[in-house]
Amino acid sequence: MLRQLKKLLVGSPLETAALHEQRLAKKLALPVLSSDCVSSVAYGTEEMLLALTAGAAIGVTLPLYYGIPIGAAIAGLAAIVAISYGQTLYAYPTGGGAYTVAKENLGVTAGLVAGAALLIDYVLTVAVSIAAGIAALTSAFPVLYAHRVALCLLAIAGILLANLRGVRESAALFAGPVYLFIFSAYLLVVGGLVRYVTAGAAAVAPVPMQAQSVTWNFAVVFLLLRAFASGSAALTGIEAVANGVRIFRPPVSRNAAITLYIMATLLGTLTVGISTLAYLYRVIPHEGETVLSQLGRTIFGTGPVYYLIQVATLAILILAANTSFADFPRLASVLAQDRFLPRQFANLGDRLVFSNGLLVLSAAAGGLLVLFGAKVHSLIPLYMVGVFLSFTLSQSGMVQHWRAVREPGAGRRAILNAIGATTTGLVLVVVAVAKFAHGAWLVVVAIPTLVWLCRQVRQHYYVVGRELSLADYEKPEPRKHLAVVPVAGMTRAVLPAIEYARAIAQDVIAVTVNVSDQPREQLQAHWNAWAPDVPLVVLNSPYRSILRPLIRFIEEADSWREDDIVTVVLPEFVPRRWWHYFLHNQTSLMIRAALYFKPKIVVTSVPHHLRR
Amino acid sequence: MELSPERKRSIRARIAPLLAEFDSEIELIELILDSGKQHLGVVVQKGEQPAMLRLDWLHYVSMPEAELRETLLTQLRHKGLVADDRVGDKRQS
Repeated sequence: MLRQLKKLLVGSPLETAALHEQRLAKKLALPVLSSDCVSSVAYGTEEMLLALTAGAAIGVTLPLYYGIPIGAAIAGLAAIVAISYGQTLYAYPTGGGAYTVAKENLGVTAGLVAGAALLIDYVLTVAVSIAAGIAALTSAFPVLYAHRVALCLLAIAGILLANLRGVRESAALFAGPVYLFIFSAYLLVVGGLVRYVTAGAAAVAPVPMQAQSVTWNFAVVFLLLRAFASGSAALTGIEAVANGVRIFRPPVSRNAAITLYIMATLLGTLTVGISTLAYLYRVIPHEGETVLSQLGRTIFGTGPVYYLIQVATLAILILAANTSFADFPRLASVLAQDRFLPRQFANLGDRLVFSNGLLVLSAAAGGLLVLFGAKVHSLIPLYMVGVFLSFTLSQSGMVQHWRAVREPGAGRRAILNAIGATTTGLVLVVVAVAKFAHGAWLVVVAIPTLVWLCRQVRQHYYVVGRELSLADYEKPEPRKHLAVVPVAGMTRAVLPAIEYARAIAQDVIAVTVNVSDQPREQLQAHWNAWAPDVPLVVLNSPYRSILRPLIRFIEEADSWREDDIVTVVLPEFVPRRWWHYFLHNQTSLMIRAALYFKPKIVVTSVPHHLRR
Repeated sequence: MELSPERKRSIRARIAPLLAEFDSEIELIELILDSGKQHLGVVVQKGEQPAMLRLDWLHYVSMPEAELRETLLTQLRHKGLVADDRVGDKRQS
């Protein structure tokens, strides 16, 4: 029944031969790789504005037009990171994820730090994107706001199911929503500017740029840095091209680089554009409606264009979450192949996807959404540290790479990567300091913990590998073999088990626990009628426990002779229907569990299938 | 390998009184001889706790009573079925 349910939900298993990679042109690769990055403008700008306006609580009022230069600074940062990552594409044309680059060039620890940061980021990408997507939905339909956590979990379940069925980064799936969002976002920016310049200028009266004076002090600088740090959330996902470079058609590196620069341009222009609109239309973030929704409603009214923007935002954010469903299991499988994560992460499931990674990612992201009430603002501080840590390590690794290869142009590329590493490193410090108390500390603790766990996992596999190694191993001497058959009495299920025990061992002992105080002679006589040559040990049980005397006897039997191997042969009957199991004592299961950790004791069962 | 009923009876007659002397709560449950006819397993139980005492079968037949007594007592003590001072106390009383 479980198998049928799984087939219905997940689909029929696929052959390993069906595993292949698709190669895409730039126009199709762009939507596949940019959904995470481009969708970040939906919440990045909002977080920046929120940080700007948060100063009011401590008596510091910053004008909204500060958002424009901060937006421009974020666009500049995106350009630096894109140019820096562009160099990675030429060095790693088969995929240059932060883990690979950092491990190969800076060492295992740096690689693990980058890997841990990325794993945490993928979880947060899912949580933040889904929360932001559902926020777009609840902005359009406020009645749903109270159910946002449940909606988020439903969305995760849907994406998980689609991925377990084997939905890959299909260009057909991604192209529509991503291009629709890009179109609607530019429509919003251009439409907003046109409306402001023409008819809308009278309707909204922005505060003149010189109207407010700001007294510069530490609090103001800190608030500005925090606004910049919050807005930098827009950069998340920019590394996707470097990770997924293999999907490009040749010339791979050149095509990937062009796509990356287009993506950074989209990100930068939309960030500046939305920041400008927010100032022009005096849109301030507030709970219950996103900035994009407020802008859309103000500029286009609650009509088809507004709903188009909201639907496109929801769709691209769901797809952004979906990219983590491709990246997290892939990175986890690489770490598992390097033995830093449990091997289960490297196993391909029925539909040729890393099912275990998908399940862990969904559970972690779902847990975060429940814990933080599906509020994007609460999740963002956790997000940034890992993102910029992996950027910094990856770019530092690239500097080391170019220094080592010494090929023509390597010096120029090293300088570009050094600028990238330094810039992202500085942003990392800003983010960690500005967001530490707001939740970044959690990630600051989580990353080294995950690195430590990875090392423990690897150490375990190393120890197991050594113990299982045949090097310096002396073949064991033949051993005596004793089979112990626990029985409840003489039944049809017992005789095949006795025969099996006789077939594998020279010595067979049957043992029963007399819980019902039956006369010993009676038990013995019944036994002797069917298996006279096998001694039956009838143990007493004054406290009616079957397990305690039985397990103790098996331990005693184990120590009876030197160099003995003991096999416990369990006669088991298998009911015809699954629910019949609930009608019987699960003694075999309990015996098996009790003996699981006993060395030298083998447990096996001889099933007797009931016909009715 | 199953011992004949007669052989079992004679072994029981020899061992059971010794066990009773050590502790009246210790019950002789079963006697088992291995296929190599080297080891005699004496299954005993006190309360809920069973134990399997080991005797050298070839030596058992000619084993002096005092040695048999000492062998059984040592193993029972080792398995915690008889306290170290219990038998000594009984003898004195």
